Amino acid sequence: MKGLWLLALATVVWNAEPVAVRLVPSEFRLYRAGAAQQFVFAAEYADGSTRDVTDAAQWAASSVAGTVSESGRMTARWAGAVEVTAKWGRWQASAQGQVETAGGDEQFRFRSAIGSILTKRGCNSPACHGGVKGRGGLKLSAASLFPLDDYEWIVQGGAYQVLSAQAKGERKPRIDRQNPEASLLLQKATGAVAHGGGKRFAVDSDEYRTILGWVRRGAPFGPAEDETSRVASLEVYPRILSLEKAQKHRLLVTAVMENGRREDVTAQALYLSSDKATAGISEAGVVNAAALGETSILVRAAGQAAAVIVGVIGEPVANYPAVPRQNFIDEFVFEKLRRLRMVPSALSHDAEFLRRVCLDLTGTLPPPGRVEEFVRSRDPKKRERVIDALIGSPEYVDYWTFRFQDLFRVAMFANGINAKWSQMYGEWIRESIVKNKPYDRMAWERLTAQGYDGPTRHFLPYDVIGSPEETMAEEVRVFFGRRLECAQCHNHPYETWSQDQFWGLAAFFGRMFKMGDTGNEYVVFDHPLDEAMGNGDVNGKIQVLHPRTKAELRPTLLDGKTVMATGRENPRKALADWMVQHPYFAEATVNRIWSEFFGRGLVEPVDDFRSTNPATHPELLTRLAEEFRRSGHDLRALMRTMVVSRTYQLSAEPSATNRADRVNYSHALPRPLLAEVLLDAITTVTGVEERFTTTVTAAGNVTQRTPAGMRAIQLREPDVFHSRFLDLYGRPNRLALPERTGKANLGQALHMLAGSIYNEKLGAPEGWLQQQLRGGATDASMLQTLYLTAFGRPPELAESQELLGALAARPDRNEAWKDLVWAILCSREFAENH
Amino acid sequence: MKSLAGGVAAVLWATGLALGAAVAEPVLQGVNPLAGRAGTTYSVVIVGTGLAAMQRFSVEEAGVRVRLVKAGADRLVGEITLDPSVTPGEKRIRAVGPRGVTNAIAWHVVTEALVAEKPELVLAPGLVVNGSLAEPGEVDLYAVEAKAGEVLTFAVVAGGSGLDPVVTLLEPAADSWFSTKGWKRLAFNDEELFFPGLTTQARLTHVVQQAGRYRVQVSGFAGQGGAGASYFLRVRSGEGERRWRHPIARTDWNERSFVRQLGGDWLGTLHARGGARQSPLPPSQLSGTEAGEGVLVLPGILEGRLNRPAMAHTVRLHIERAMQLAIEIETPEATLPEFNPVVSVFDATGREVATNVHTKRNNNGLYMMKMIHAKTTFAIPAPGDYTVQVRDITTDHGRPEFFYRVLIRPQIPHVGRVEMPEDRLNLVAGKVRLVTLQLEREEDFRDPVMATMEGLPAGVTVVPGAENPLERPPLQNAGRIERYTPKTTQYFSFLLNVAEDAALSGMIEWPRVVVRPVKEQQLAAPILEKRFPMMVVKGLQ
Repeated sequence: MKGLWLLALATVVWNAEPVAVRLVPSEFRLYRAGAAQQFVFAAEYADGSTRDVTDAAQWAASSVAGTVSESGRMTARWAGAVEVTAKWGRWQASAQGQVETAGGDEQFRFRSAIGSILTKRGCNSPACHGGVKGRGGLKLSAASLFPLDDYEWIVQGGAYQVLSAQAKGERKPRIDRQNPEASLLLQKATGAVAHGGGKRFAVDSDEYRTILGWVRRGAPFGPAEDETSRVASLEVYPRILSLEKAQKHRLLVTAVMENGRREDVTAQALYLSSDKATAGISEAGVVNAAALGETSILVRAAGQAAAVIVGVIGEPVANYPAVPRQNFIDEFVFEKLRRLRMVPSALSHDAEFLRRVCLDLTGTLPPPGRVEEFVRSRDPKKRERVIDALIGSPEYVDYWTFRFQDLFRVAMFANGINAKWSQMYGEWIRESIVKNKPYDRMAWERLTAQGYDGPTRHFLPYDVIGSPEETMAEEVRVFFGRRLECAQCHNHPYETWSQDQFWGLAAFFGRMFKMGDTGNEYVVFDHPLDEAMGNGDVNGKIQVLHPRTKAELRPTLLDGKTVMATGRENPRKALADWMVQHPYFAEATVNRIWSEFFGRGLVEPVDDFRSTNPATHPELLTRLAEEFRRSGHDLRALMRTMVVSRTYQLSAEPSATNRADRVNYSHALPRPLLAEVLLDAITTVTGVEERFTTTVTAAGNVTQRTPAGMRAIQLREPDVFHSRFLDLYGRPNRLALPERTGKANLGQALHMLAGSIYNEKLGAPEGWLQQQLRGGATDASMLQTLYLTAFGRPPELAESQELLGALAARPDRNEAWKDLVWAILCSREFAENH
Repeated sequence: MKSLAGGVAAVLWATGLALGAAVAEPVLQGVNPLAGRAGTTYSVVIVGTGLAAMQRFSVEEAGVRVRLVKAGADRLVGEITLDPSVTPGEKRIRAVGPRGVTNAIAWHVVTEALVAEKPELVLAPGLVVNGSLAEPGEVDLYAVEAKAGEVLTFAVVAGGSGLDPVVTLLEPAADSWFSTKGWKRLAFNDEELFFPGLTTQARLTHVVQQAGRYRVQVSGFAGQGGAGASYFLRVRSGEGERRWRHPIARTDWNERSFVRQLGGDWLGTLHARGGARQSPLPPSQLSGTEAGEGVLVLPGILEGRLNRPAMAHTVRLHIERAMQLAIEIETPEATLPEFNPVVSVFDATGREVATNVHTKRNNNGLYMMKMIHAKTTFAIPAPGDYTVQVRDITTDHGRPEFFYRVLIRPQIPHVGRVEMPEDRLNLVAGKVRLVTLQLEREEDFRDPVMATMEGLPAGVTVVPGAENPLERPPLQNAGRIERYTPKTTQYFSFLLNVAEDAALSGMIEWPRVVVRPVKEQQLAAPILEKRFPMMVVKGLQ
C-alpha cells in the first residue's frame, strides 16, 4: 500500500519543490494509555497547492510516552511530554504533546466505545437505523448524537414511535447478557441472522470483540454524558482540498468537546463522498482524486457531521497571471482559483459591467445615453462612481423593496387576507430600505412585532396566527438560512438539530395571539402566563407541548439556554436579541445578498446551511459576515463591497481554464432576469407600459388598475395584481418562502410566440417602434438605439451589417422591424443578466 | 281591516318572499364636484342608478338650493346655490322622482378658495381642489411650492363608496441616475391607520426639508377609479387640529364603543334608558397607579395613563355583598388598535373573576380566540376584597396617550341600542313592506318597550308583524359570551300596508319612529325619535 502511495507522490512531486511543510496538529494532548493521535504531514507549494506526504515521511517520538507508526499515528504509552517529528527529504516538522493519564484506563463510555462503531459501520446513518423511524424496529440517533436513547433501544429493546415516547410492541433487548454471543446486535451485524443492512463487520473484527466484551461486562452505559464527553463540534483538516488526478490526501478529524478538550476521531469517523467519480475516500479517511471536478466529502463522527470540499484540478497553468485584486473578496476567490489552477476571466468591458450592475442593484436597464456616456468616460473611478449613484437611488429603493417583499412574503393571503395589511407590511419594508435601516434592526422588529404595526401582519398567514412551529421554522430559514423543519417531527436525520431544540425554539412563538374576531381588527400580542384573560371560560391553556413526550416546553435557544421570560414580557425579544448576534445571522444574510449578485450563494441553496452542505469559500463567508457585523449590518455597504470587487466585475466570457466552472466565480454566470425585471425591461424597450389589473368583474369590466407608470417591481402583492406573464416567468405567490428557479418552460415559449407582452406591444401606436417608424428614423439609428436599450451596448459592425441588410431585404418595413425587436426580446442576451 | 289581516297572513306565509323582494329603487353613488364654496352657484353631476325621470333634489340644509337641470338613467345634472351664510362641512343630498326617494349622499361646503383640477395646477395653503378619478388607475398630479421648514397638510376627502383615496408627496429625483425628469416618493398616506370603523380618507402632514417645487399625487387604493370617484383635496399650513383616531359613530347609541363618554351624567343616562325619572349620585373618582394605592368605591371611575410599555395599574375594590356588576371602559385619546386596554378583576387568591377579554373557541380546530370589549357584565359571588388591574394587551406598547377611564358599577337595567337600518322607505301602492327595528336589552332590563310609527302618509297603515326568526348554529364553545354582548336582542316588526289606491307621493314625507320604555305601567321618556324619508310610489319593474 505504501508503495502505491509513493508511486502516486512520485507522479506529482516530480518537478516542484515545496516552499514549506506543515505538521497537523502542531500540539496535542492524549488522556489515557492506548489513546491515539493521527498526524498529517503536508508539503506546501508556491501555487498554493499542498501534497500529503504523511506516508512518505519518517516519523519519530522523542520519549517513551508514546510510539508513532510509519503512517503518522501516535499511540500513548506513559504519562509525560513527547515531541513527534516528521522528516521528508530535507524537510522536517515537529509537534509538541503531552500524555496526561498514561497507564490508567479511561472510564468506559457507551458513545465513544459502542456508538463510534455504530457510526463507523454506518448502522446509525440516516439511510439505516439513523433514519426518522429507524429501520426494522431499531431506532438509533444519527452518528450517535443521543447515546442514552441509543442505549435504551439496544439494551431494553422495543420499536420507536415518532409521535409518542412510548415504545411500540414488546420490549425485547437486542443484547443477551446471559449468552452474549447470541446478542441480536452481534448476530445481525455479522450476518448470522438475516439483516436488511447486510454484514457490517466480521466475527473476528475489533468491532465484534468490543461489543462482545461490553455485553459480557453487563452492558454498562458508563458515566452520564458531561462536558468532557459531549462533543460540541467536529473539525476536519483540511476543509478545502485541491488534488491532481490520482493524488491522495489523508483527512484528520478532531472532536472538540464542550470543555474544549480535543480528541482525534479520524479512525472512528464515517466518510462518504458526494461524487465518487470525482473523488473517493477510504474507510481510513484518505481521499483519492479520480476525475476533474469538485465534490464534497461528508464526515460523521461523535454525533456530529462536517464536510470537506475536494477540487480535482487540471494541469498546472504556465505563467499563471497576477490578477489585480480590488478587495478581500478577490483575495479569497482568486486564491482558491489559483489553487484550482483556473485563471479568472478578464475584467468585463464597460458596457457589460454597466448593464449587469444596473440590473443587479436596481432591476433597471441602463438608459442608452448613460451607456454611451459611461463607455466614453476615461475616469478611472467611473465604476465606483456609478455604483455609488445607483445605491440609494429611487430605482434601488424600488428594487430592494421588491426583493425583500419577496423574502418577507408580502402577499394579501400571507398577511391576514387583507390588502391593506399587506400594504402596511410592505410599507414597513420600503421605509426600512429607504432609510437603510440596519438589517439586524429590521430582523429584530420583524421577530418581535406586537400590536398593529406593519411587521405584525406577517404573523397572520391566511388570517390566523401561524402555528409556533411554522412561524419559527420560517424565521430561522429567513434569518439563519437553515432548515429546521425536519426536526419538527423527529431529530433531524442529517444534522445535529434535535426535536427538543426545534420545539424549544418554537416555544418562543407559543404565546402569540391575535386580538379580534371579525377578520379586520387583529392586534398581535403575547399572552401573559400569569393571567387567564378568559381562558378558564373555555378550559384553555397557554402552552406548547412536545409532540412526542407531551411535556410542556419552555422557550429554549439552540444552545440550550432556557429563556425565563416573565409572564408579561415579550419572549420573542430574547430570541431576537440572540438571533441577530448569532454568527448564523450575518452568515446567512451575506450569503443571501451574495446570491443576488453572483447567481448562487457561497452556500447554495441560500437557505440550506448545514454541515453537509459546505460553503464553496468558507473563509470568505466568515470575512463577509465579520465585515457586515462591523458595518452595523449595513446592507448598502455590503452590496457595495460585493459589486466593487473584481470578482463581480469579471467578464461572463469564460477562459480555457475556467469554462466548466459554475461554483468558483472564475467568470460571471449569466442569470435569467426575474419575471418582474424582465417585464419592466420589455416595457422599457418597447416603450409600451404594462397596466396591471386587480378586480375584474363578471362582465369583464376592470374596476381597479395600477396607476400609469407603475413598474412590475413596484407591485406589492402577487395575489392582488394579476399578470399571466409574471406567473409564467416564475413570480412566486409568496404563500410559502419564494423559490424562483428561473428555468424555462413551455408556457414561456408559447407566450413568446403568441402572448400579448411579446407581440401586441410591438404594434402599439404609442410605442417606441411605431413612433420611430412614423417619425422616419433610419434603420441604422433605430438599430443603434435598440441595441443600447436592450443589450446595453451598441451593435457590433458585423451585427449591424447583417441586420441592416436583412431589414432592407424585407418588403414590409414595419413587419421586418417588429420581427427584429421580437427576436431581440426573445434572445438570451436580453433575457439574462450576464 | 279584514283585507289587511288577509294581506298580513299572505305575507307571513310567503316568509319574506314578497317582503324581501328587491325593488329597483333609485340610488345615488357619487357627486362631482364634491365640494362647493359658500356664496357660489355651480353645476354638479351626480351619478347613480335608476335615476331616469327624477324630478328634483332634496337638501335639508338652510341656505342651500339645488335645481335639477337634467336627468338620465345613470346621472343627474344639477345646479347648487350656496348662500354666503351656509355653514361649512358635510351635507347630504337626495333626489326625488316617481320611483321614490334616493339614499342620501355626502357632499361638502368649504370656505377656502376652490378650484377644479387641471394639469400642473399649483397648490397653495388655503386652497381646495375638486377632482375625480374617472378611470381605474387614474392618477391626478398637482404641484406645490414649499419653503424649507414649512409644515404642509394634504387631506383628501372622497365621495361615494367606491374610492379610498391615497395622497403621495413627490420630490424631484435629483439623485436618480436613470432620469433627469424623474420624481420620487417623499411621503405617502393611504389613511392614517387602517382599522374597522376608522376613516379611510387620506391625510398627509409633511415637514418640508428643502425649499422647492414638489408634486402632490392623488390616486385610489390599488388603482380604484370610475364614475362617482370624486374627491376634494385640501391644502393647509401646519398640522391642523390634533385629532384622535376614533371610529366614526354609525348609530346614535354606542354603549359598547371604547370612545363613548363615561363622564358627565352617564349613569343618569343609563337610568333614563331604563325608564327611571331621577338621576343617581355621580360615581366616585380614583387615579390608577402602579403601586395599587386606593380603594375604589362603587360606583366608581378609575382613570389613568399607561405611559410606558408593560405598565399596569391596580386598585383595590371592596365588595360588601354579592352583586351584579358592569365594567365599562373608555379610551378617550388613543384607542383600538393602538391602545387595547385589558381590565381584569382578581379575587384575594389571585383568581380572575372577570375580564373584558372575551375568550371563545372557533369552529376550526377549536383554537382560542380573544376579543376585548368596552363593556363587561358579571356577578361577584361573594363579599370581600378584590383587585382591579388595567393594562395594555401588548407588553411592548405604552405612551401618555394610553389614557383610560374605567367605570365599575352595579348593573343598571336599561334599553341599549335601538336601530332601524333603513335610510329611506319607498313604499309601493298595493304592497306590504316589512320594517324591522332592532332593540337590545342591557343588564337584565325586563320592562316592556313601546315602539310606534307616527305621521305616515295617507293610505299607509302600520300593524305589528312577525318574520321568520334567524337561526344561527352556535359556536362549539363561545365562552361566556353573555358577559360581552347584550343579554337579549329583540326585533320589532312593523308591517306597512299601502292601500291600492293610496295617493302617490309628490314629495318626501317624514314620518318618525318613537321608542319608549314602559316603567311601572307608565311611558317613560323616548329613547329614540327618528325621522326618516318615505314616499309612496307606483309599482316598479
